[in-house]
Amino acid sequence: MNPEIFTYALNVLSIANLVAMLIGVSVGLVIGAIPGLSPPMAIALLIPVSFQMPADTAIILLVACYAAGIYGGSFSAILLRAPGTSASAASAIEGYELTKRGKAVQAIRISTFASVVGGLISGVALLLLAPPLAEFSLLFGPSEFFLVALLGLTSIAAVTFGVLYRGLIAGFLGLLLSTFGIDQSSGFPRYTFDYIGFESGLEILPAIVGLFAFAQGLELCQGKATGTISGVTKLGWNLWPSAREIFHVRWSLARGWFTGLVMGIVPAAGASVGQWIAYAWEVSRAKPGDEFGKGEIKGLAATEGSNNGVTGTALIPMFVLGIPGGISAAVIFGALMIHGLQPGMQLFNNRPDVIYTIMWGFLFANIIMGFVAVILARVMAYLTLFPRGIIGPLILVFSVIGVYAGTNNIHNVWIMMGFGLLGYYAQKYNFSPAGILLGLILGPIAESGFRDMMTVSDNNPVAYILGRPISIIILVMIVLALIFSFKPKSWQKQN
Amino acid sequence: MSIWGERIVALLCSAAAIYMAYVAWEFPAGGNQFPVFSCVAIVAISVLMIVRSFLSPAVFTEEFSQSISIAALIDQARPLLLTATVVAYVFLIFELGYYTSSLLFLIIVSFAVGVRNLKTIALTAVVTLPLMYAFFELFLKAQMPRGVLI
Repeated sequence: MNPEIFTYALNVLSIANLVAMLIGVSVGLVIGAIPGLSPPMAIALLIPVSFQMPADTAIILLVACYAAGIYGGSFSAILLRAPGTSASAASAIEGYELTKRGKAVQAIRISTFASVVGGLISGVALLLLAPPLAEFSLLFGPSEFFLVALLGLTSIAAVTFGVLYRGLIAGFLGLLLSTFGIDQSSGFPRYTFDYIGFESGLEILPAIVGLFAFAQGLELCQGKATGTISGVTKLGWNLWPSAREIFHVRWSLARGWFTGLVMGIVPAAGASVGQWIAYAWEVSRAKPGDEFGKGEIKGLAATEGSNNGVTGTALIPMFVLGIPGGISAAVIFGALMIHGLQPGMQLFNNRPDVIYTIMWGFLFANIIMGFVAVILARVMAYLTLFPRGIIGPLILVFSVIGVYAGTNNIHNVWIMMGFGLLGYYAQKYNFSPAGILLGLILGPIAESGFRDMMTVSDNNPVAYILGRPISIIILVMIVLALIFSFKPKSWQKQN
Repeated sequence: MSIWGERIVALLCSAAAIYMAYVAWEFPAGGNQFPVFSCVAIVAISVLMIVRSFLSPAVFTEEFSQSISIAALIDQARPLLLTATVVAYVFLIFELGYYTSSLLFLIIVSFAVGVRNLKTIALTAVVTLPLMYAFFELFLKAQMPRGVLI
């Protein structure tokens, strides 16, 4: 570890950097919370604003927006079951159930704590472990990507709650839907059914908005229109968890943070997959009395810890190797280039002042995020007090306009509505919309890993996998996940 | 869930997966491998569902209703009707303009689903639409569709 890195901490505390963090965090939280608008969009929006700033301040603005955008998605996931980002989809399962039971504020409390501390831990990892972790991520080849995707799929078992077969069908349906559009290898269109909207494939954004937000809008328009989501009419004021609350979920938080840190360095998988693995891990450890699927705070703590635990380590491959691991990282990568910074080890050698200031900025931004989030959460929690008949149509309008503004493509609005109906009926008949989304996210990673592995292994994937130590480790994790996720004995006994 | 419901669902899933595999079969250059793998997995799970319904019938506790009531059909169709309304709203956006269409949609749908407090509906629309304008048009610089109105 380079002891010099501590000397750059004070650079962050300039007025300009603090204001940049505050703006980045506020924009990220608001845009992240709106279904259809994603953190990459928020970051891209701020790039023109950052042109006139010094390079370190500009990138601090963007990484602050990135961290807050991931957390902002959790607000709408917990309060409305309409996750703002794919990284917060798993939080909708337990978070919304807690809201329905009148525990929205408790859910937000744990979510804020898990996200802020997760982001801080991830920031420390970014600061201290960037070079060695980046070298580790370089060891990932096609078989590892394929197996990581399979590992993610095993978590479907955890989100089905007693209807395992239907949940698995939902997961494979998601994988099948992920193959729609132009085949990246051959250029041949697959499953387009002569509809131009299918040619570019089914994007994650309309899928997530449809499966969760639009479907939730349809659901809220049924039943008693004047009732509220939670059934409560008053909210508590305390938005920071007590020591007792934290102690209750301490191991769930630790598992979530750990999963996030590890998954962050896996390019493309990152936050979207990490949260499901964390959740599956949590369900597999369920004890009598736990209420997974019906509003279990431990499940929420794990997913929220994981999705912000990812944020710092997800930047490592980009900063150290110049490989953006996801869309947000790719946008920040572009911003670095605009400001004349070439990502890679040279950046650490030539401009340590800039790169370490940015990393410290990320760390401090997570602290600021905690304060801003507490204020914003209070405002957003009031949404749960609105009548269902008002919130439902509003969600439908926001789903339409969010997807239209986010993609500027009317076909994605139709596709979003299709996913909305699919999500509504899937939920009604126990086909796990979360499973469909997971399959859709993992599909491209699994397919490209599978095809590359077949090519490099000369159609002998078993020997290839068994010859790679990391592949064997992931394989063992899959087997363990299957054993524990499919048979959470204590939980099954209770239910 | 009922035992016959499970079997019918499994058969429908199998039929859909077999059709998708049939479509995928002709994809060239290995593009068919992964879709066919997914379809085969769906068929295999569906078969397991049917086998399970014979081996463990006690798991299925619900009665299979052989008659379908009009009320149940209407209940099933409500989301479809609502989605059709949203489709009409999207078309209307390009004819009337985004803000006018959204205002009409919010008022009509809120009233249709049972909210009778017109003050609440009007207040929501009056507060929401300027916020949408400020956020999407002023802040995000997004050009919302305009029609004959705004």
